[in-house]
Amino acid sequence: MNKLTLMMLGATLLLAAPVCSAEPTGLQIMQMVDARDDGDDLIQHMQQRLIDRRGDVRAREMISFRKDYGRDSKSITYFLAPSNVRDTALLTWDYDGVAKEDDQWLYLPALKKVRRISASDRGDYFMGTDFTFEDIKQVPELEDYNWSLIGSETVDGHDMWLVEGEPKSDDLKKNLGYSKTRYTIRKDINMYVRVDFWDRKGQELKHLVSDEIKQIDGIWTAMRGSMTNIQSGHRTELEFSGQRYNTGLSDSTFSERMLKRGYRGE
Amino acid sequence: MKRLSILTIAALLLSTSAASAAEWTMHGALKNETAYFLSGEKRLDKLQNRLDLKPEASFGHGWEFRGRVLGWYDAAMDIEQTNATDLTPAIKQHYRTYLQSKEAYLLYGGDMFDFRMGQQQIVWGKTDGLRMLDIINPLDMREFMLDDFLDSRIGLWSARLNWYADIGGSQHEFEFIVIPDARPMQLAPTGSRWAFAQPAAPAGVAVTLQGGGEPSWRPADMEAGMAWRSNLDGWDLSLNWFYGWKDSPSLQKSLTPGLLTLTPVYQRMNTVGGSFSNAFGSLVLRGELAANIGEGINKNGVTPATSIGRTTTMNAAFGLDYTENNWRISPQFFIRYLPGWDNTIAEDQASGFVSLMISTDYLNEKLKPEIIGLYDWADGSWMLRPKLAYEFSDQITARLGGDIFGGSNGFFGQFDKNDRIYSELEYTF
Repeated sequence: MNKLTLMMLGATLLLAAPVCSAEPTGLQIMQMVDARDDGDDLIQHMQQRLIDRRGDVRAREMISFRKDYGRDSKSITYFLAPSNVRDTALLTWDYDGVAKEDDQWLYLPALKKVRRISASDRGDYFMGTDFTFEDIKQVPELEDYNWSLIGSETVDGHDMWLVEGEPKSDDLKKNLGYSKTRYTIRKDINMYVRVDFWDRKGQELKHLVSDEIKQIDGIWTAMRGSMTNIQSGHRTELEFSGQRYNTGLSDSTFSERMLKRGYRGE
Repeated sequence: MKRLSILTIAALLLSTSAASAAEWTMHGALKNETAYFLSGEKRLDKLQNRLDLKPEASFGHGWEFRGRVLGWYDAAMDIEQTNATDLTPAIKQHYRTYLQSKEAYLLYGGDMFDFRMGQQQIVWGKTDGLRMLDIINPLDMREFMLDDFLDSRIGLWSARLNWYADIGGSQHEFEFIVIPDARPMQLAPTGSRWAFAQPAAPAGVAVTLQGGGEPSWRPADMEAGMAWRSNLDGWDLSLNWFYGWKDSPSLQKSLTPGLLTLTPVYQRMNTVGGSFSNAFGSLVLRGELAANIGEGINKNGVTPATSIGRTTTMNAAFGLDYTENNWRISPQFFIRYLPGWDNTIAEDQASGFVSLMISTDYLNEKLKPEIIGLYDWADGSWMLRPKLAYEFSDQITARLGGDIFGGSNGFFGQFDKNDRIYSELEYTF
């Protein structure tokens, strides 16, 4: 190695150091994901396919409404089909941070009653899917995890961050059902395209993949997703359609009244 | 029954003619329910094939129609040999076929209110399995309280206005109900296997039950109610008032030499109460309070004047729902207390129930085991209801279960010889 090469290598390292230190931290990246523009409100249809290891399929159809209230949000999801879950509906008032637990209500048509349900056992699976109540939030409570940027990679021509989150306590691991999560995040749009989950014992549990990401009303939106449980062989496929952002949903959309009335079109 | 059928058809026709361009949908279920008695004389209890239809229409501009018709044929009334000797033709007919409209109402949804008119099931309260504030619709008790309330509630023709207001930054709901179609609970026929035990008569005295006047579709019998609901500081709260008829009758006695005549007497009462629920971590706390003012009660006398009376009863229920690792555990405690009790009243001053429900699920909610236990702590009788449901597909679900009764008498113990296992196979569409 000649002197010139050594000088060039030295200069490269000197230049590279500030670049490395400018890389955001894991927490900063997750905050950017959380702050990503996802509209002030959203209406979308969902087709859900629950597929077990034998290939048996159960299909469901839902419509969901979401509205942001500052950093809090409210959402309501109606099951439209099949008939045995039709009119079941979930209302969530999602409060930012961990200081206040979310409020959740479930309408069960078989009882004709709205049931208050505990939002604390976030590791419980939602309606037979591979998503827990925590997973169906777009972004987890950032305060629950220690976030670390573990690297970068390029996938399908997109630069990605790899960010790992580890629940801050054993109680949280138990509550969430995970010992670790790893988010693969597109750098250009601050949106995750894959999430890997490890169970409480540290075994790889499942992964979520978001597909067909495109802009709707200027907002980056995943049109399909699938959560695959590696341990059980069960898979939940989601297909989103009919997205409408910023339609000015009224507050009364997110009420016990609407849970009981069910969704019969607009 | 005839009047109801005519009203149901009229409502359907009105709905149909009101908007021929309406979007109609039909959902429902086909279901087989088979039950077999394990204790007492072992025999087939039922072999029902049910059709449950839920027609709905959307007329636009906020107008909708919602209905439900339930019918079945129970082959056990013809197949089970012992029914030929043990049951009268009238009882067999009562159980053999069933066809009733459960709901048939028009709904108008405005910006700030919902208005429903027609045959409805109106459900109040926060308790499961036992009813305290859920008193508006009487029950069809042909199978004691084993049928789902959705199936056993008798739909009443009524008008209901729910008005929603933003007061002080909180959403408040005010509900107003008028029910011209006052009706009592339908008890299982005397002599049937689910009939309530009659009061004990002195030795050598025969007992006869004669018909009594029931509340019905008369202006003087009309029922009315109001409720307020809101979420305040995280608490789901309601206040309720209902002026109606006690669903079950008091039994007026008249003793003549060798004969005790029982006459059902229906009495009006005011129910004033409320409900609450809130979540605290893994726990959901819920409850109801209800004061029944002027509730009809049975007394120990054997004359018309001394065998029935009225008093105020205080009723309360508290429940917990605990959820952890996909298990749900729900204990409930019910108490009924008579502040003005004296020893002429034919029930304890304090009585009530405890219940416990434990459930979980496996295979992504395909397999759902559940067990419910109810214990009457006043008379020591109990009921245990284990159940296992398996979802073969989106449309087909099978259930296996049992209804087991304990105690020599009392609310549940009177059916000690009716322990049964059952299977259900349901196709939903």
